[in-house]
Amino acid sequence: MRQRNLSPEVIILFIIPFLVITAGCSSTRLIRELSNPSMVSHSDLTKKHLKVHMKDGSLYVLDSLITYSNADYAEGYGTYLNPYRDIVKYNIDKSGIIVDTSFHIMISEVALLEANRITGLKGKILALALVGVPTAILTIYCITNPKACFGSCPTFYSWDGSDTTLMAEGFSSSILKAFEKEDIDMLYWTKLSGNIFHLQMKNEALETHIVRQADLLVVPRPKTERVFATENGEFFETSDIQSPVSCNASEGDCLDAVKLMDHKERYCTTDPKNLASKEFIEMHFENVPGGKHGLIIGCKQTLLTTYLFYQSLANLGNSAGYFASRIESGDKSLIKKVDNVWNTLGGIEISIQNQDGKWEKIDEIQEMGPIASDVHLVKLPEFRLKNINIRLKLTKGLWRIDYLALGNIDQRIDPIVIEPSRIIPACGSGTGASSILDGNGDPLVTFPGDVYDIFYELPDNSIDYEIFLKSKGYYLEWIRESWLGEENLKKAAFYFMFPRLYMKKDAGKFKILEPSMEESFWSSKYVKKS
Amino acid sequence: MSKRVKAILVLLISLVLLPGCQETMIPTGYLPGPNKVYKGITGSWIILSVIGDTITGFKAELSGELIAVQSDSLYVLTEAGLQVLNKKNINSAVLYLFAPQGAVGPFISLMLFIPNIIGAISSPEFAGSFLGIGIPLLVTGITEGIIETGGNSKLKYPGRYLLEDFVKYARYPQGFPPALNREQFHIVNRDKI
Repeated sequence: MRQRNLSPEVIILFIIPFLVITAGCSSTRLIRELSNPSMVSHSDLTKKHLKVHMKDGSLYVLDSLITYSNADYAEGYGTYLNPYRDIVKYNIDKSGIIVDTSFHIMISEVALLEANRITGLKGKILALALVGVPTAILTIYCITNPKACFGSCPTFYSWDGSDTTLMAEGFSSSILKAFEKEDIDMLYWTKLSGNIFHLQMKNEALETHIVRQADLLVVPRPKTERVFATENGEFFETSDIQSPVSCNASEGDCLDAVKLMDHKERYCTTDPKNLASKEFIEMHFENVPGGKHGLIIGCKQTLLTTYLFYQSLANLGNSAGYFASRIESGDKSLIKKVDNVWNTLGGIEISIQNQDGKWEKIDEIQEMGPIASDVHLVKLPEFRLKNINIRLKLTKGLWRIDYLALGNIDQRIDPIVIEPSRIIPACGSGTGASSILDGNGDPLVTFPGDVYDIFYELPDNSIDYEIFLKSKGYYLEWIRESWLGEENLKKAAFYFMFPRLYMKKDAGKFKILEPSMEESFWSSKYVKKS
Repeated sequence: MSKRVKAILVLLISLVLLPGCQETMIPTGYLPGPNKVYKGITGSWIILSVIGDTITGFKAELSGELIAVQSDSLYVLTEAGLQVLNKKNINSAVLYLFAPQGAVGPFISLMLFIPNIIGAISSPEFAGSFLGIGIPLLVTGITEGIIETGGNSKLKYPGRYLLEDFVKYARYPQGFPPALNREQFHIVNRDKI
């Protein structure tokens, strides 16, 4: 029999409202207090919303009652009714305007004063507002723009010392088999415990993931150093890691956001007139020791590429499958057109200022994906300067920069490749892990909501390792029914043939969605119901 | 939309609507919203089960405005006029202080849930997700409805309350004033203030 577990998301879904309710809400209760007239006589008081029951059965329903210390009467504004509750007189109208002189109420004729209070009503309204308003906003946003919701790529989770958290996303740019490629991601925050390493792979989107390989690349980690990988898959021990002394972008100082790999990211919004518009980030390093150096960049993309990808599928509509099959059949012109779109946005260009003050381009980071930050090492040319200026050129609003640092590159290391030793599908996931993800056999095909626990045996549990994930595969995005309504082949042709112009034309539409895209995206992961 | 999703939807909506199906025969003005209680000019509405014949034990149901609670009797203004009932003959009574709020939370949550239903219908592939997003809202609304049963919108005798507890919700909490003409009593339109 299958064990049925409630996912943490589902539990939280139910716990939050209960916490909100218990914290701020009880049942609605009427508290009626009756008091003797002596309570108000011979004192200077103004009381609101009182009822004065007279001994003869008549009643004053007052908006305010004023009493005086040396008087045997009180004054009031409101309505006076006889014992049969016919209105005798009022001196304040329904809109609260005084229309007559105050009532002169003899305290000796008063039987009781009545005050009413309602409790529990505000807490209930607050609880509903706290839960209801964000739900309604998120839902309406997702209805009007489903492309911003319910999306992601293959995601990998592992233990960070306190929880199992998102560490990497696999092959985000491999949107068809023709674009299949290897992807190496550093599991920067992962913590080891024992010689069995556990990785959880999830499909949290409406996508079919075809995973051919999910190997670990491990390198022994020196105590005071870390190991980083370059774009072309070389691994280097890196020491004397130092943050820049200054970092400036269009908004001014951004050093605080980039000096640590801590999820605090430097980010700016897109240009309202051109989604491909560029910007610069300049950083300055001082007292750099001699030797070989590398720039360490921790970054991920924003949802701009996700939006453009989904929008292109929506524009293609029913023809998306046809064009996908042409690409899969080797139509190089189409492949080139897709590449052109991504090239228009570009990666992160790294330049260094030489002795003549000129900027020299060193390298470019191209890795796509908006989910998990990856850490890259960019080898810098050898230089003799003690102070170094480095500049990044990137598309505005396309990148979230988490970490920038300079390190001394020591020796190159060949990582140990570790294949999965066990793959266990979570309850209700897939059809069983027939594949062992060794890159040679059948790939592992996952569907929305599938979760797989992958276990690896590390060579020696006495050594601390730097862990990298090498994944290979591709994914197929599911065309949503709601997207078909946006089918516009002319727009699709414009997108693929003139991407630079399209980035200008579509900028206004994206700017409307941009502020709430991240929140909607992260709130809408696809989770299979248990 | 799948049959399963439809079934969940019907169940959720039923749960939300059920608390709102309580009907009473109380004149509109006698069941004010909680925010209007402080402006009320009458006693609360009471529904009583009274032993009409001590020999046969025949019971009659009576409803009206609670006028006063005396040491041995209750004054109730019914459609037929002012009635004085001996406390000993009162079998049971329910006093309605304000409009029950049990349906309010579920109703508001259902209204706020409408976008989720629209989302589920317009994007069937995300039906589960759209409905799932709204679950905390419905749970909040329904739970509020359940919690509301612990409120004091109505007081029941016998049980948690004695008839003496009804005193302060009568038209004359000070007791029935002397020298009033019983013929002049009439059901009041409480909305007139």
